[in-house]
Amino acid sequence: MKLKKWAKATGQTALIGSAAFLVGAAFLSIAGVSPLVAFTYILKGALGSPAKISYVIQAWIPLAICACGLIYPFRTGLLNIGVEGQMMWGALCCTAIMRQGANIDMPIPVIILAFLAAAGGGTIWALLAGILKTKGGVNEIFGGLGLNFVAQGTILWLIFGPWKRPGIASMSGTELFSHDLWLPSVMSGRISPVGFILAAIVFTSTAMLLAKTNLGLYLKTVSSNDRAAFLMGLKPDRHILLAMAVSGGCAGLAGAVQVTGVYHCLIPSISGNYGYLALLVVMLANNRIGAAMLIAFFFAGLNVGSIQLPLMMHLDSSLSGVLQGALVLAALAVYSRGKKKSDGSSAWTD
Amino acid sequence: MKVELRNISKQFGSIRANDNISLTIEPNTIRGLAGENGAGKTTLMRILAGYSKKDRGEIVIDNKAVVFSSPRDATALGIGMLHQDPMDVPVFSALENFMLGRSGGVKQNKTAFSQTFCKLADDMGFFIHPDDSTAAMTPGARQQLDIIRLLSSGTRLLILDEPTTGLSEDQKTILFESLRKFVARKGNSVILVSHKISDIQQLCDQTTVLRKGRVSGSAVAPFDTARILEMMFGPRFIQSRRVPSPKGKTVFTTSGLSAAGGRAGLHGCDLHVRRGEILGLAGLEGSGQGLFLKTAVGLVPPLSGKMILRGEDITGADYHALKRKGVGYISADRLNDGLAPDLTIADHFLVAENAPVLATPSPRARMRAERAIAGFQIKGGQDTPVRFLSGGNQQRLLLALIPETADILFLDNPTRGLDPESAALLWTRMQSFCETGGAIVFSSSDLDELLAMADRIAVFFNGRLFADLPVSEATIAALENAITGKRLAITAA
Repeated sequence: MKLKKWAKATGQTALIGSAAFLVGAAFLSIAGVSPLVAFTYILKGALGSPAKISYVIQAWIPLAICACGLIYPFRTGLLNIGVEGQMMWGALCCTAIMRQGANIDMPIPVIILAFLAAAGGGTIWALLAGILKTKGGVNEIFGGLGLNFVAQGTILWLIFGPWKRPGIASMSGTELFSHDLWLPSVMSGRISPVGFILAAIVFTSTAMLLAKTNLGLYLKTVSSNDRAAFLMGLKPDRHILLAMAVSGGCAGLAGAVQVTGVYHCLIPSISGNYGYLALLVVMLANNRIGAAMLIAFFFAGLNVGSIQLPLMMHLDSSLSGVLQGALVLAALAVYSRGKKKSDGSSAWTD
Repeated sequence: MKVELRNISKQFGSIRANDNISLTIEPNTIRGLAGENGAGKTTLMRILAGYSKKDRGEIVIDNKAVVFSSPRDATALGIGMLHQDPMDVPVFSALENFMLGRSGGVKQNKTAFSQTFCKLADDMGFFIHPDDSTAAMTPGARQQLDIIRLLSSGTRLLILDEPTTGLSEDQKTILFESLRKFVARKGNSVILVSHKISDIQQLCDQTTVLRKGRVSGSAVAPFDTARILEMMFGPRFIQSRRVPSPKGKTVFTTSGLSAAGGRAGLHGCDLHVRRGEILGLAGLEGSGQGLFLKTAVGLVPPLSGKMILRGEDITGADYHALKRKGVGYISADRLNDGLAPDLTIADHFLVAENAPVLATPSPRARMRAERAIAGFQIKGGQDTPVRFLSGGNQQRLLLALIPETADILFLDNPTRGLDPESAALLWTRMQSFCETGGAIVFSSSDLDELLAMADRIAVFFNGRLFADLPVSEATIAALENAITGKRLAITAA
């Protein structure tokens, strides 16, 4: 039985991988370049040197943290598309604390406080979408999307308004924090161990919570049938809010990592689309957290590696997006087909 | 046109919705198709109108066998079905809905359509206007709009699925008048699907009755209500009555209980049940008995009235609070309400323990699951997802999930759709539950079951408690009359 499951999973992965590879190859062929050469450049660009690997890890950290958080709403049957805005709001709250902290000579407490504020900001932004859903009946996708725009707007307003650089406001963001407020880093400033440890903690605690407590099962119950969950004694709304809150908190932390460890200021594109990318990661991983971490690394590698395309082949780097999208679409098709097959043909029921 | 259905069969999963049904409808007649909910009426009509595919059998129209692969094929032959819910786009005007899907090309000839609209509405005696806003129309008017749509597309066999639900008495009169006009024209016929015997009596020339997916009989006007009811509910063999448990103190009382919901709501209901007692709730679908159960277990807040559980006023307490006080409930819709399809059997026991969310899953749950699978003879393993269980096994699981601390159970149609073996197992369990001092309130559309299993029967009609009588005073005839709201027969019984 177990062997069969493994064989099935391997088969599915192979199917998904080759489908996406073919789509990517097709696009490259249309562009008139050899897919093999292009893929080799991507691979070299991602893993070719320690410096390149460090860039991949830098991208992996926020992606992994967001993906871990997204596991909770996915388990509950919610698509927390607002993760992008939650990340921005976390970055924003983090920046607010850091700006105040510049006047106090206690970097470590300030940074800790900034992370807490970021988690809080992300949580609140996610709870807004959750409350809109549970109390107002607004689909979390619409609510989240709307809140993303509000978050983006707020950040732009702050950067060009109250938080603008002395002299002239700029798309490059707010003023850099003083050096003692930067997270310590290795690999010539690219990886902050704090961020990495944070990702590891979020991953371990999520894996533990879902495997060793009732939480994972309760969320799955709400997802499978919220009416039955209620009749069996659960409070579905509470679990929906909990899943959203945890997800938002994680996204907020990812935002704080970007602010304190990577950019050292608030920039307009602080979320770097990592939220959206994390959604794809979790979809592709089919809610399995271990797989999500590996896929996050793979996606980070694709993003970093495909920067080679414009440099070496005069192609646009968006090929990584094409590959990621193709992977997810192929995965969704394969998973839903697998489920349909195991359920037998769906019947009309009057 | 003449329509023959020959040996039609249709299976949904393990349920035989239609089992070898044959039916002939002559031109210029109105045929009734009666039967309780789930008897297979709608399925059969969906097959005739091309919405569903039959597994076996033949459709013959004017002596020619036909095969429908979509509703369009049936429409082309003049078969039109009026669905239970209006099939229109509410934001459109009446005329736009009327034109929907048939005004070819870019240019719309509104004037011509408007004229057809008015002529058809006028012919049928309908008071609807092309400029009416569909959203603002009454259910009856929207139904009229659907009817003239069907007529304008050349419908000669008009199928109406429960058309009088939600209609006022006046609208019903207009509808029936128009159907008589329609059927008087050459070659037209009507099939009226209904579980309301009064509709069939008023309108039909002949009626066929379905029961559990089969034709259980047919009758020609004027109809004998008792005979049709018998065909709807099955032959009246009396099952062995259970040995009544000694009755104890009153455990649950409602006084003047009212609630909103369903078709008829619930109005001023006074009921009580004692320890060791099984109270059966009778009534046609949607007469208030289901809403009573939901209100009693705290799923629907009462509008007025009082609920007392073991001497304590529990009016307005929510479902979870009542559950903790020993109230058990099983919904009629097992897979939509009761069970989470993706969870395994063992998962259900784990969830039902209601342990804190951050606690470690208790190993007790797996033991309970193991015991339940053996004790209730559930065909499935601990790790079988519930969606793979048959209806009978799902119901056994729901029974097994009732906490041991519960001492009063509310069961909504607990044996509907169950195989006889599962139903027997359920009642054996329920009887031993009562012998140990438990109380049961259950609803059923099966009068035999009510007579066989209940100590007392409460009959609901149109949202009110219509009769409350010990089973010794109840007869099939009395119940049949009472569920259709005839009081005379009750006093006679």
